[in-house]
Amino acid sequence: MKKLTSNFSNMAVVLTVICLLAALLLSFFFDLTKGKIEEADKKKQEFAIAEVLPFSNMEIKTEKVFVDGDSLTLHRAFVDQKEVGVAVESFSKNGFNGDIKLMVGFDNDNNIINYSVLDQKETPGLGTKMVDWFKPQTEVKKSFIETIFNFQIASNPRQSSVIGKNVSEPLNVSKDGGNIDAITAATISSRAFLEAINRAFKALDSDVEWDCTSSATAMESLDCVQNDSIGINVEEMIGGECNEE
Amino acid sequence: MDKLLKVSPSPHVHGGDSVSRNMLRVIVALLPAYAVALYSFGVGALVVSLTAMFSCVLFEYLIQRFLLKGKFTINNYSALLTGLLLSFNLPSNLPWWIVVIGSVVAIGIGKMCFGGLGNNPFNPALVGRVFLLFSFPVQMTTWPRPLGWASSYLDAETMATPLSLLKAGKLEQMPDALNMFLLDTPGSLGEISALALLIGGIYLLITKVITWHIPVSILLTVTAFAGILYGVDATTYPLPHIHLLSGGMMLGAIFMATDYVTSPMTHKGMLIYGFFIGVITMVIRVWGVYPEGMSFAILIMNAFTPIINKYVKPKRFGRVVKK
Amino acid sequence: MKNSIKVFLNGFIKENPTFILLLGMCPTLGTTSSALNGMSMGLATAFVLVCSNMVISLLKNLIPDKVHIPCYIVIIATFVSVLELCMKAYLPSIYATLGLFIPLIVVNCIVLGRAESFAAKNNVLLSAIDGFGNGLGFTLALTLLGIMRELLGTGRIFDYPIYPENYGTLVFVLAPGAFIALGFLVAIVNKLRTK
Repeated sequence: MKKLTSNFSNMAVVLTVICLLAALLLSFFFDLTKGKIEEADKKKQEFAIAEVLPFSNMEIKTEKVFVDGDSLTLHRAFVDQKEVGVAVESFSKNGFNGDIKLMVGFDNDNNIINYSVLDQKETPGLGTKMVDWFKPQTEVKKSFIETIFNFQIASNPRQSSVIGKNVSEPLNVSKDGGNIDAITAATISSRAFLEAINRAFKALDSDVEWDCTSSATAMESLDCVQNDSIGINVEEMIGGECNEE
Repeated sequence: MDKLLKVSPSPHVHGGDSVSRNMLRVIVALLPAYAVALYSFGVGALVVSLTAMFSCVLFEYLIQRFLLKGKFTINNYSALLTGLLLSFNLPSNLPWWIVVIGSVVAIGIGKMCFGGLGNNPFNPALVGRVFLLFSFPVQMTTWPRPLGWASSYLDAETMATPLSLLKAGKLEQMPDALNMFLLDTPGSLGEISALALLIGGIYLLITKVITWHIPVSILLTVTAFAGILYGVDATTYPLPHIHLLSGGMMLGAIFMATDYVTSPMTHKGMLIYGFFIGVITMVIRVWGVYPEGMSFAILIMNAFTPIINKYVKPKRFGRVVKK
Repeated sequence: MKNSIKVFLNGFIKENPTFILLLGMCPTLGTTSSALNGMSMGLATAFVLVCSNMVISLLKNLIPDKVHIPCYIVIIATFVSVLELCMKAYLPSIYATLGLFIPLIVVNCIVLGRAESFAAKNNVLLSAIDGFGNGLGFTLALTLLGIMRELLGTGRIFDYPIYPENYGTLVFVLAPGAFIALGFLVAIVNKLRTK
């Protein structure tokens, strides 16, 4: 077949047809994957909540809470109509390289069950360690070389776990007089992390008076100094799948 | 022009100036600071500096022997000097294997990749230091307390440097200026005593290894910059002398930025180079994420050196200046 | 048959897009912080390469010369979008790490380069083989770079620990380390080629 010449009508027709076909193909794939993508997004959210609230057959009720002028998202978990815990999406703006977003799970007595880091931009190898630094120390998986030569490099013991803590007063790094060991050489990230935890706790309990940034964050102007603007406001409910209380 | 250049017919007497003599003079100039480092940090300083010097010379030899297969240049002391300068930029409680990695990078990537001494665009010791800073941030930012003399060099008591105190906004915890001037500031091996570094700098000026342009322009720029900040807000910004005496300021201005290969050739170029090093250092110190910006500033300006050399040229003899 | 093997090897080894032609540097440097990421990026690009090469060689006589670049880009972008949708739906975790680099395959010069220099002149089968060879060559390069960076930076390969993480040289996981590691890999390849 001979090649089409580049006259106006040919070019217009070919371009239009190709674009139409592309659009057709794309819309087909869009329809095909739409449900799956929504499912994956929802799973991601559910997974994040399930990580910090280890209950089976939870029903999740979502509400917004205002703490010091910032809105935080609360996911209340119910099993058999009874509240078993709350997962709070909290944040800190005092991270080393930007915002830190956390999901923190609390049980009914306001003890921390678990946390998971949703988003952070901290320095790799330093601040990024917050992902498991503030959980109880676990056995490190033995590496290939350690297995072959049969030795293990012990990691230093530390007092850094926030799991099980009741944040009755703001958590602080030990440098600032608290009892949580900061990540080695990443005190600023650790402070920001604990600030986010403190803020999450504050979202649970509107009677809390203390300033969630605590004495430590001297880095920049604090956005959390007014203690007067706490109010709870039920704004939305996910999917209407939870029963009326 | 008050002095005319005297040109006499040959034969001329060679001044005895050579690469190895200049390198040796820089090493001699570093000795006072080295002595202070040994006094303050004890065995840690010795282990780190000897490891760095030994491995730099060794790797230069190995690379020349097996990879480049060229002429040996290890006896001109340049590798030894790179090793010493590298160790001056490291904390004294750094494990020896990290020092060895730093030496490999300084010599291998910083210098030999580009063809050896004279061809490297960046200061090799600083390449090594910055590589280590990114690679081992924990070990590179825990500083032992000076005069702590721990029994084993690895478990020295650690404390924050003046610059990290500054970054955290803790002005009231700063050590006093006299201590910073003499010997009692935590930090890298070579940055604890401004006095010892100044003595070395004066020796270099007298022996004409370096000219005054780069150090003076860096230090003046920093003083002016810090002075303006202090004038704007005296509660958050310290007095200029704190910036001059802390961190790698003296070490960088006198020994690192004046490296022949990586700094501009003309005096005017040197002043421009020094000015921008000062500005970048202060910008990083005040607004950047790292407490110290000297090594980054020098490396950045190293990259600009060819451009400065291209545009800041002395007038050619006999050239007619257009009006 | 002999010809198709030659076409495959040409893209895979002899004119490897990353190591020899130094094309597609953006994803090469940006996505290879671990071996798995490098490999997924390589395979994603290979998929787009094969599809776009086939379609373009099918349509090569229908596309007038003056509008061939817009047509190619529309075709490539379509396949990239299809890939993006599928990854979002079926491989959300890999999509989360590769993120922006998936849409950026559109402007990867390997894809347009192969369309221009090969698919526009050859038949469908050969074009598919060429796309496959180049795509696998790209995958190979990215995986090697990813393995090197992951091993040096974190002491692991495909998440399997080789040596304790504390001894890793972290800079290799960061952007400067990508340049250094790529430089050394290209040097090694050049050394082997000139032998």
